[in-house]
Amino acid sequence: MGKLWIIGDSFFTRCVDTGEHGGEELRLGNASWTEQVAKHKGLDTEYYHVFGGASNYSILLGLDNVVDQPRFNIETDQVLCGFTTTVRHLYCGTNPMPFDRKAGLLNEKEFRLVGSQSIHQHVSPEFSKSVAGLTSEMINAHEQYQTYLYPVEFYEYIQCMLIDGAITRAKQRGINIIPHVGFMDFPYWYETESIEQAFDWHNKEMFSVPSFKSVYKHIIHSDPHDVTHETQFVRYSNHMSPQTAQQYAQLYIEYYDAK
Amino acid sequence: MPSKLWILGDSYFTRCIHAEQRLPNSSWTEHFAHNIGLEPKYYWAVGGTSNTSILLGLEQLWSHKEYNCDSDQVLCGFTTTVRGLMRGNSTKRFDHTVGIDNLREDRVRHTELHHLTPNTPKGKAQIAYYEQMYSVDYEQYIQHMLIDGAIGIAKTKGMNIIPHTGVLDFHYWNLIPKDFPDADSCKDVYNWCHGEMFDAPSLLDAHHWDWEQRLNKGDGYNELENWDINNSTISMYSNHISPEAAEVYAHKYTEYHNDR
Repeated sequence: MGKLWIIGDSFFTRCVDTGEHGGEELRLGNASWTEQVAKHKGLDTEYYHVFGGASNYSILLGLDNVVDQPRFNIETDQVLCGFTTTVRHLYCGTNPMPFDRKAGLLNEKEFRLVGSQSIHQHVSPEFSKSVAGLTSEMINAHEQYQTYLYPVEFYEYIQCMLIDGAITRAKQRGINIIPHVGFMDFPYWYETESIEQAFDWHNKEMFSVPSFKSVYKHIIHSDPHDVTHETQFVRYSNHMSPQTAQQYAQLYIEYYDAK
Repeated sequence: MPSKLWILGDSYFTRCIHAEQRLPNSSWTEHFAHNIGLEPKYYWAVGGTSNTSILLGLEQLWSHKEYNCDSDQVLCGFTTTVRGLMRGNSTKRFDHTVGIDNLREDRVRHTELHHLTPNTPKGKAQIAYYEQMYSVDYEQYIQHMLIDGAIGIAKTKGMNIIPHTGVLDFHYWNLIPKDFPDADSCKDVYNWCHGEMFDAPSLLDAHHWDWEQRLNKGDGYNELENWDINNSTISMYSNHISPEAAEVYAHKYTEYHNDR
């Protein structure tokens, strides 16, 4: 049986009830949309390079390395590659060992690199030292960088170019890749302009994939501009209740089968 | 009207200026263009530019009204990966549709320029960034991925692109062995899909030619043994190569190109 290799951020993970709304943390089997899509395609799921808070840079490192995995079979396997918001980045971590592309995810696990998400979440220097090994100097440098140097539109543009190129590379290498826009369109979920217009995309197909927002829009929430306030967004590790996940999987399967 | 060779890259891809005088038909890019029957078009060739800027130029070329995808060719030269772009002093935001105006209007600027103002908030922020956050190996990896992907897209879209490593492999040249004692070629540190440019004659060959001429026929100075940027052929010409070496290199590069 072929495998569906899954790369992406939290939206592409299995479903864990975080216990945020009472009860204990619990992994729910076959409750994520990715498991249901894999099942429909007759593939086994391989949660390969997928974790909450992942940046596009990390996701592309995973995609770059997938062909080197001993278990990866380019003839029978498919790769679902989901992208994320362009505001996340990777920077030098506290481990003196240099970045090594072949080490893949270990670069982040060993703090050779650190995600901006970690820096934002751990603004307290004491907390940062214990969790991500960040120092107050690093946090200060990050703040200065964000204030004075970070060109948000330019880095969005560069990430689009990087993603578009990586999809082309994957196809040229013979990988059966299924690109998914994922959370990349997040800043524009309720705006008229999409990230599709922010770049002259060569691989446009992922923008025709059903958006995650299509399964959120009917749900009443406190802030119409931000679905992250929804209860399910916090309660489940992949931000979808099992029912929502099933609804999205169905939409996605219909789209995929109609292609 | 003859077809064009659109030229993108850093100083190595510009025309030749020596002692503040432009020397016509003295650059290897002009010779190469003429060797393959094309008119050189210096479209996005700027000294000190970064790979991200070069790739912005490559993407913009599609919308240039004079560019003819069917008959023109594109020489795209890359540069060292230590250069980057950061926010400039303009309040205007980066907009990919305005192309090189992003740099002219200082919407984004090269990191080297920020280094020139170390006491400004941006200068200080950049120093802190390089000390605390910059991973040279990782940045190199990302730029390699960016370049490889952009070449792939250009080819897929039908552009007749001639990628050139330029000084992408500068560390591997080992001009300054004490600083880069064990550098690997960029060819070997990334799993290139479009690695053919590493098989082309290197610009280092042009430097070697200049150094040998100077050692044997010039003032006898040995540049390789006594590396000094202020007394180097590299500093004498805006594109770092003498007109004689440029012609020799262009001939060699044309042979390689025609044999592909």
